[in-house]
Amino acid sequence: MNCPIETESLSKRFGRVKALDELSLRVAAGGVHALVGPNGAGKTTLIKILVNIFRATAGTATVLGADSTSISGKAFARIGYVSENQQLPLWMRVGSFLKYLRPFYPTWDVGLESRFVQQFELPLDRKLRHLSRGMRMKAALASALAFRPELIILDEPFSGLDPVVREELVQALVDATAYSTTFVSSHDLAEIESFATHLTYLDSGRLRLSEDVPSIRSRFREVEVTLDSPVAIPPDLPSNWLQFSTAGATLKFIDSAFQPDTLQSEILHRFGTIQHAAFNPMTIRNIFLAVAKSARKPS
Amino acid sequence: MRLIFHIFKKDFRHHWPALLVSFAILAVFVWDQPRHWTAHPPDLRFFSSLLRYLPLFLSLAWVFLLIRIVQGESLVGDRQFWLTRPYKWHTLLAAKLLAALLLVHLPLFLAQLLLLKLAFYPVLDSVSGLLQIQLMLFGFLTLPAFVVGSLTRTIGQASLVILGLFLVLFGIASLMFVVPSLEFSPDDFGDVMAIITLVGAVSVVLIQFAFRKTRISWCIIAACLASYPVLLLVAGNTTQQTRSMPLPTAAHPLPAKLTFDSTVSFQHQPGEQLESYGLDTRVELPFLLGEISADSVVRIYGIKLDMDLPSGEHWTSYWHSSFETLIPGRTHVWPSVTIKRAIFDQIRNSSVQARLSLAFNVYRVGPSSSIFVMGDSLRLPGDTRCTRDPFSSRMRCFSALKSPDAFVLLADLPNKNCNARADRDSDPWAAAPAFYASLSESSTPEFDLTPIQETSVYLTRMHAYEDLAADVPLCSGASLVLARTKFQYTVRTEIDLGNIRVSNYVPSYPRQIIPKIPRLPSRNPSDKFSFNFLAPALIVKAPRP
Repeated sequence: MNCPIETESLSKRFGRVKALDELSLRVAAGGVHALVGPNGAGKTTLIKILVNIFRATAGTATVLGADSTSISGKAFARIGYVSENQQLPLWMRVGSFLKYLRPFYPTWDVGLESRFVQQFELPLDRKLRHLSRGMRMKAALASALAFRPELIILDEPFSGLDPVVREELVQALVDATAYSTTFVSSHDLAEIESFATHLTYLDSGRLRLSEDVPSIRSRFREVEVTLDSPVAIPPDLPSNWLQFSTAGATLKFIDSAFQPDTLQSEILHRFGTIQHAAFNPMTIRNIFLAVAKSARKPS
Repeated sequence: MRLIFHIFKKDFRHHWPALLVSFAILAVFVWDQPRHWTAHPPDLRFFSSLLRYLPLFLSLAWVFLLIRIVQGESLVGDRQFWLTRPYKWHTLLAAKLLAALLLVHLPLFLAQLLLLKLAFYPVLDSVSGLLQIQLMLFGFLTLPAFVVGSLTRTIGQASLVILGLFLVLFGIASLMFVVPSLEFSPDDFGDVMAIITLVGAVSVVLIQFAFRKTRISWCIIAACLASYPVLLLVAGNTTQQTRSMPLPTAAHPLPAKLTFDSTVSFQHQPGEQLESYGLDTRVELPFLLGEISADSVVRIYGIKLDMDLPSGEHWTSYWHSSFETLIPGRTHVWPSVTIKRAIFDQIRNSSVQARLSLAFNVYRVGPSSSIFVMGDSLRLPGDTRCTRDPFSSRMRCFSALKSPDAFVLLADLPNKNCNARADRDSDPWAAAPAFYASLSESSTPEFDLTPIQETSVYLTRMHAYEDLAADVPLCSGASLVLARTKFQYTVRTEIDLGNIRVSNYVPSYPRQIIPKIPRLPSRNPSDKFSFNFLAPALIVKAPRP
C-alpha cells in the first residue's frame, strides 16, 4: 500500500541546531496519524518540509508519491494544510475567503463547504480579523477540508482552543477520514489521544516511536515483580526493559515488547522464584514519558 | 487565465481605497495640465505650489499601490496561507502584472491620450510614443515597486527598504563629487549600469515569485549596488575619457582654428578681491576663433586645463563640461575652468606653463528655411507650438511627447523693429547673429507623466568680446532662420598656452577687459543678415507672411 507520507533519513539543520535527525517515517493511508512530542521536538519543521516550506538539509520526504521539494501549485489541490500560526487574509470576510478559494480547487464541494459553515457556525459576513482564534481556526479548517483533500496536514490545530471548539474540529477530522489521511501534530498528547489511530513520537528531532495505537497499548506494560529476596540490578538487562529499578525484593520496569509468557520466563530465568508479578497496562502518556526518559538516560 | 483574473479581482477589491486615491490624483493632474499650456499660466495661489507636486504624489500613490498589491501574497516568510494553496507562481506574477497594467499603466495611458487630444495633437500618431513611455514607466516605477514589494511584508518594511536604497544610491552618487568629471564617462558605462540594474531587478522578481529565496535576492541587490561604484570609478578614469574624444583626422577635422589671444585679459584694480565661488576660482581664457564652416554648428563639449606648478607638480582640472555653442560668424570664445582656491593662491602671482584641452561636438546644419514670429506665436519643427511669455524675451514652446529634434535658430536681432532694452543695447554687439541652438537628439519620448513637453526658446546675442551674451526680444514679424542639425563627430584639440599668469584671466568686478574693443560702426540692420552665415545652397527662402 502506498504511504501518503514517507521520509527517509530526513535531517534539517538551522545553523548549529539539528531540528531533525535522520528521520525515517512511513504514514499509512487512512486514519488519523498523530505526531506528538514536546515543544522543540521538530514537529513543525517536519511538517514544513512536507509541504515544501522548508528544504531538508539531508534525506528525502515523499508526499502523495511526489518528492516534497516539488510540492507546489497543483499538488496543493490534494493537500489540506492548516497551521496554528498560519497568516490568513484577515481583511477578507469568511464568506469571501471561502468563495475566493473555490476556483483554485477542481474538487471543491460547495455542499461540503456549506455543511462546515453550518457545523462550525461560521459567520460568513464577518471579517477574519474580527474572529476569535477558535473561529479563525474553524474557518481555516473548513477551507482546507471543503475540497476533500487526500491528505490533511495540521500543525498544532488545537493549541489554545476551548474544549467545545476542539471537539467540533475533531469531529470534522474524524468525518474526513472517510476520504483522506490526516497527519496532525500536537505537543499535548491528551488533545489527540482520543481520536488518533496512529502515533508518532518525536523528541529532539529523533523518531522515538511510530505505530498504530492498539499496537502501542498492547506492547507496553508496567511490570512490578516481588521476589523472595532482594537483588542488585543485573548488568545485562534486555533492551526492551525500560526504567528498571529495584527496591529490596521488588523490581519495577517497563516492558516495551510485552509478551506475557516470554516476560514471565525471562524473569524466572534471571531472578528465580517470583512471589508476585503484576503486568499493568499503561496510558499512552505514560508510555511516551517512559520512552522519552529512557531515550535521554538509558537505563 | 481564469485564476489570473480571479487573483486580480481580489487585489482590486482589497486595494480600492489606494486605487481611488491614485485615480483622484491622476484626475486632478489631467485637469491641471491645460493650465500650463499658455504663455503665462494663471496662478492658483497656494494650490499652484501644491499642484506642482502632483507628479510626485501620483508616483508615490502608484508605488504604494503596487507594493501593497505584491505584498497581498507576501513572498517573504513561511506562514502565509497562500503558500500551501494551489497557486502557480507564474499565475500569481501574471495577476500582479495585470493589476499593474490595469490599475497604473492603463489609466496613465488613457490620461495621456486625453491630454494629447485636449492639446490638439494627433492622438493616433502618438500611440507608439506613449507605449514607449509605458515601457519606461515599467522600468522606472513598476519594476522597482515589484522588487521592493517582493522583498518585504509590510508597507513599513517597504518604506525602510526604499529609504535604505536611497541612502546607498545617494552615497554612490556622492562619488560624483569625489571622482572628477564623471559626466564624461563613455555612454557604454551608463548602458552597462542600466543593463545590470534591469537584469538584477528582473532576477529578484522572478526568484522571489518562483522560489521565494529572499536571501539570494538581497545578495543580487547587494551585488548590483556594489557594481555601481566600481563602474563609476572605472568610468571616471581620465585616460579612458580622453580616448573617447579623439584628436582630429582628415575625416574629422577641427571645426575651427583656435588661437590663444594673449593680448586680452581682465583688468583688475589694485587690491581687488578676485571672483571666487566657495573653494574654487573660475578663469576664463580668451581665444580667437577661426572661421567655422557655414554648414556647421559646434558645441564645446569638454574643457581641461593642465598646469605645471612652480613646485614642480603637475595639476589638472580634469574634464569640465561646457555648453558653449559656436556658430558661423563668431570670432572669439572664452572657455572657462575652475581651479581649486588653494592651487590658485599658489600661482596667482607667478607665471605657469599651461595647456588647454578642448573637446568639440560638431553638428552639420541641414537645409534652412525662414520662419516668422506671427503675433505672439511661432511654429517650430515637430509640430512645436510656441507662444511668447509676456514677462520675458522667451517663447514657451509645447510639443507632443518630446522636445523638437535638434535645430538652430538664427536672427539679426535686435534690429530697428525689434529692439533690446536700452541698457543692453548700449553695449556693442558682436558681429555674429543672435541664435538659439537645441542640439540634443533623442528618438525616444521624454519620460514624463504629461505627454506635452515644454521647451523654452530664446535667442541670445554675444556682446563685443563674445564673453557674454544677452537675450534678445522676439517681436511679432521678426524673421528667423531655422535649420535642422545633425551630430557628426567629437574631436579634441590640445593648445599650449605657454607661460601665463592665471590671475589675469579671473573675471574682474565690474567686468573689464583690456584692450577695449571700439564700438562697431552703425549699420543698417537687415532681417536677412543671418543668412550670411549659412551656406547659400542651404537656404530655402520662404515668402514673408
